Amino acid sequence: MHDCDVTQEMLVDLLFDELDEGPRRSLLDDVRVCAGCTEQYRTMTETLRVFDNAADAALPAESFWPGYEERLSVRMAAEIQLSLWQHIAPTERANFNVTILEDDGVARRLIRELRAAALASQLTWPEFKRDPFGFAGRSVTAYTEVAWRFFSERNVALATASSFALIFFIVGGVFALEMMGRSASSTDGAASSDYKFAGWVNNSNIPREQEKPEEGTPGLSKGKGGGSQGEQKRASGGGGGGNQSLLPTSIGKHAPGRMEEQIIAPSVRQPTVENPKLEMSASLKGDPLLIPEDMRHLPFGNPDSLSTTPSDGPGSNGGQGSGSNGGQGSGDGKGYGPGRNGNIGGGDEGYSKGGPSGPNGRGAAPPVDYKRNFRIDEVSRRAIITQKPDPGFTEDARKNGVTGVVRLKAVLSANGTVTQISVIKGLPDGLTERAIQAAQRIRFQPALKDDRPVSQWITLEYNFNIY
Amino acid sequence: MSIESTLREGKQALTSESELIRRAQAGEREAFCQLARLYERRIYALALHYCRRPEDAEDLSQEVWLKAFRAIGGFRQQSGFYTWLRQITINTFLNDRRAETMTRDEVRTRVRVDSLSEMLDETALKPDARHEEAENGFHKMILVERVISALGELTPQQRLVFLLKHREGMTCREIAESVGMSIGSVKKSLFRSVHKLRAEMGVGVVAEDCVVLAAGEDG
Repeated sequence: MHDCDVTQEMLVDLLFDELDEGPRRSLLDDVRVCAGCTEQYRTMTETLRVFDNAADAALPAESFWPGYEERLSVRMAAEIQLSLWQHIAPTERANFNVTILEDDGVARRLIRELRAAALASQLTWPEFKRDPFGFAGRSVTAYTEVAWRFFSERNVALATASSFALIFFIVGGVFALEMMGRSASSTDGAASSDYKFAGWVNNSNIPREQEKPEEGTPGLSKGKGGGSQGEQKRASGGGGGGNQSLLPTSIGKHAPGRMEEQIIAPSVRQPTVENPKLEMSASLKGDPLLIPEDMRHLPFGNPDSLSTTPSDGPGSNGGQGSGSNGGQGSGDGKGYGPGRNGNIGGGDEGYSKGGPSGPNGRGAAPPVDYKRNFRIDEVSRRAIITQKPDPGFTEDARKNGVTGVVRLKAVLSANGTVTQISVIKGLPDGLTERAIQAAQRIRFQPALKDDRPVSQWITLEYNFNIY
Repeated sequence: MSIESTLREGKQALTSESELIRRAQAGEREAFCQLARLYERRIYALALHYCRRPEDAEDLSQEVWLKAFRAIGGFRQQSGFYTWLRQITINTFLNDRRAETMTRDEVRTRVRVDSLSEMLDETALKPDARHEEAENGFHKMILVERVISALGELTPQQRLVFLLKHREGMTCREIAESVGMSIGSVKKSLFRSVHKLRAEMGVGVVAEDCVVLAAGEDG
């Protein structure tokens, strides 16, 4: 049965006369039965014939050869003159490979080598697939032979041996010098006699490896310290003020801390000096890193206040809050919060420096009171409500057609209960009570701050509609 | 010519070659030059077809002779002189990159210019040149250009294998040993070379119902 693939695989043997007479005749018969294979064979034969014609025509004319021989003779003479040492041992020079120095760049040469490697692998892959072990064996044998041929050449052998000898002497020399140095130092009695045994060193006095400082943005993050001044410790101080108002301090932002003395105390009222020579803004005395400037367009006041009526608070001597002397908060001085004389953090005024910076957190200084209720933007993870019971409707409200929104404020406490429920906006006919009851049955996962469960303020809205 | 006289001449030729080798090994340059005259055309032809540029062919073939000149002291006459010389040629070719440097367009331009000028000088411009001669010469020149250009489509290794097989008549086994390839790779290389040359030279058209596969090719 004729198989074109098999026949054509053998056409090369037929074409280049690689077959004995029997197989050759058999293959020729096989070729003749197929028009395609016959055409293949014919065109391949024709290709070789045309090639021969052209190849012969490309050869130079007879007149070329005298000049060629003359040039060869000159090169040989130059070779002899340049290589005088050849005459000393002309028979010892082995055939060696010429190293070609090329002008091409490294990239082009690399690409060319890679192409050649790819081609070689493409050519040898079928052979490898057919007989992998035989192929590997033949390759190893061939490479060994090539390596042996290379290293057994006189020059290569001499170069290799001398390289090894040189390396051996260098390494040996270094080693010997090292050994000599050691023996000299161990026998140096004069040097060692200067010391005598005085006792064991108390191990506890040896400082251990320094502890890694706690992470934390200076003053505002996790960590021991606070602030940008002085040594690493907790910042302290505070301030307070007020204008002897009957109203609590109104809601607002704190004034920025500055290390310079305070000139203008924060107040809900704008300064009344018209056309000042040097424009100044209100400030607190304190570390600007701990009391940063609040860029929002808000009046000065207490950020935690619920009062919206402008007031500087019941304190005294300027500033805001329930304290005194130009600061903000309940302390005494020009700082912020409880404490005295300035800065922030409680106690007497003190400045400090924090640890290395960290990504999150709001303050080892002042210390965080994790028991207080946090606003939703103060926690690191908000409380997650898992159940929201339906408040239902009351009969009266339905009868009277009451609809609308009940808005409650409550605390989702750290222990998982809903506390401190207050009504912001209510509805009649028992709907507010229904909303409160429903709020009390809310189930949730408490909010987290610094990985601790904390209580979080929340506003709840219940929409009552009749459909 | 009788068989006896032919044998006698052959023996004399071999004897004279051995004598020349012996004298060349003794350092006689003229003896080596005579040896070179015996084989210089074959080596040059091989080099010309391998690197396709006459000046490169001359340089490369003369390098072969210089290497042979340096190494002839080590030639033990265990094989024929030409076999030994051919192995030097193969090694020199494999270590040479001149065969790769000429682009296809360069081949076309150079062959056209060189051959045309030479041919016109030699034939067409002769006072007694006939029109047919000039035309034949021109056609031959085009054929040479096409074949040299087609050779450029082969990789240097394919070109070398093809030339060793087709022009030198070496067996696949001999080529495999000389070039450092397997016999299967040699056959596959020959198959590809012939197909490439056929395509480039535009010889014949392959029948559509026959799928061309190289020996040992996967798929």
